[in-house]
Amino acid sequence: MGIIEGFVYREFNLKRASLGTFLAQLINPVIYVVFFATSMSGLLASVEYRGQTYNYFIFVLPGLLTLQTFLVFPFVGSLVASDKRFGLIRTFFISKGTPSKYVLGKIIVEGAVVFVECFFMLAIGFLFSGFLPLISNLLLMSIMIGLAFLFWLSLGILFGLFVKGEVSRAAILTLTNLPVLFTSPMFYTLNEVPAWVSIGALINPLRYHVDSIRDAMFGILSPTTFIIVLVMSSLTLLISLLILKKASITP
Amino acid sequence: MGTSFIIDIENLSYVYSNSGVKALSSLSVQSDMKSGILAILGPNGAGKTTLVNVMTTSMPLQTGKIKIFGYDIARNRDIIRSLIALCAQGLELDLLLSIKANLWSYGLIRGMKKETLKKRIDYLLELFQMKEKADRRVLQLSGGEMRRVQLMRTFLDETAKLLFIDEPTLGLDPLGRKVTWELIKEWVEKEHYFILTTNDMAEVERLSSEIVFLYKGQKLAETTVEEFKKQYAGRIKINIKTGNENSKACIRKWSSKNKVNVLHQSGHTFTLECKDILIFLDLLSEISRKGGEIEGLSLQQETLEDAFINLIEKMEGFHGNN
Repeated sequence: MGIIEGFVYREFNLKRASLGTFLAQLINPVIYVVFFATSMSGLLASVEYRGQTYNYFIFVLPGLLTLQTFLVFPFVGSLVASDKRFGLIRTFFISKGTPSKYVLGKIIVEGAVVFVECFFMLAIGFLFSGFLPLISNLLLMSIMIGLAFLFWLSLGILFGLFVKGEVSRAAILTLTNLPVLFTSPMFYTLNEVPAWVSIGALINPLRYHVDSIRDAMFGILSPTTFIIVLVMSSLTLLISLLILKKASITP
Repeated sequence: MGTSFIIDIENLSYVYSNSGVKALSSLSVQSDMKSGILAILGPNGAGKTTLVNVMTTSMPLQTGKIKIFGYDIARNRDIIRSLIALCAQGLELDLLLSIKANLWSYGLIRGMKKETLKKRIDYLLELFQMKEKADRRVLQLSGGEMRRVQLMRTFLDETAKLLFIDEPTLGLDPLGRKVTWELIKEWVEKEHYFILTTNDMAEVERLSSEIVFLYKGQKLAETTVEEFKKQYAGRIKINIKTGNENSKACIRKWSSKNKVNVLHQSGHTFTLECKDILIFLDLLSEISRKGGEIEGLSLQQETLEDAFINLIEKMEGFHGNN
């Protein structure tokens, strides 16, 4: 327990040390909901989704929640890259800090931040729309948010380990972020999009995360979507742990 | 365990896959580290850092065997990791965290009890005179102060039995150096072991009695500082400032007769080199007999640094001729 506490202490203090970034992390999602969702719902009153008609504000809210899990990817990628570059991964692993404990420290602190963000977003959503999911749906939604978070965190670890140099990381993120975001049903349904976007969406993990969180919120989550998301997250987490264990830890 | 060697390296080779550079080649080292400190010496690119990286499990073992305290590195990585600590040459600190936060998180990650950890942090902050700056971010410290923090972290957990320190006192002021050397000696007395990689030969002379000398990934010597100096730096230099022409003529004649090397002559000053100090007594009585005068005289024994240079020059000459 002490070792995990050490990692949590470190991660938490790193957040405190860059308070501006931390606050921005908490405030940005709220701004998204307040400005983006309310403005767009003025343009698009309702959206048809899986045979039901929903208010756009309520429709886009799970998309924005998923966005918070997705943003963990570049953030954790940059943290891990810096830990490796400055020899901290080596320092920790040569001590009793195993890869799994290192990852667990990140899961606890970053996960807490994502859950606080999501809580604020749901609260603002409720204030603006009066919509509140059922408790059972909220619980299921939390599980799906947790799984999406684990997926992007694990991918962030791999990204940070393998992509050396800030310039390369920035270039890769610039090239991939928008296609990933826009081939997902985060802001719109994929019913009306061109065929090539639909094909892109099939291999886009974010699509399954948005679907799973949205479906959980509306209480229509299918076991297939649940299993797809569960397998994706478990596999990515497992791979990131294995690679972290086997990879060279020299700076 | 079944062996008395603290370090037992057998046929260790390491090739960097990306560049194809062979950093270590069939290296074998067996040391019981009786003095507690083993210095790994060698010119840049000799393989010192690679050796430390493999020994500390930072890089995978490719070919060969390494045992530390009798534990096979390939099979007992976690045990070895719990017995060692590393102070690398690079910063390897959380720059955004305070000194205290760096030490506290590291101590917890090493599995130290909070009570012990608190005591150790207070003790080390006092010892390295960093108490006033304990809450300051590492980023705000000078290079020497950062090095102190790194050393404090290395000496935090007393359960670490083998400590690898790369350039122990690099960037430290004389006081910091003194504290570090004293701490190393104190820990050696408490049966801790140190592997130092350094280019500061004065430090090696001061601290270690055992050395391993690497050259192009191979071991050239595994011996004590004294033996190494005896073998590669046995020469003595004498500087003589003569007072008159008689003395100059006498030195020239005497050195030629006795086949003593005149390294340097400028005006009235001569630098002679010889392996046996007693032969110089003969020169002095010769000068006196011939009515010569001596205004100044100094003797200089070759140091470990000279031995280092002599060996490298010998090897470069050898490689150059081949």
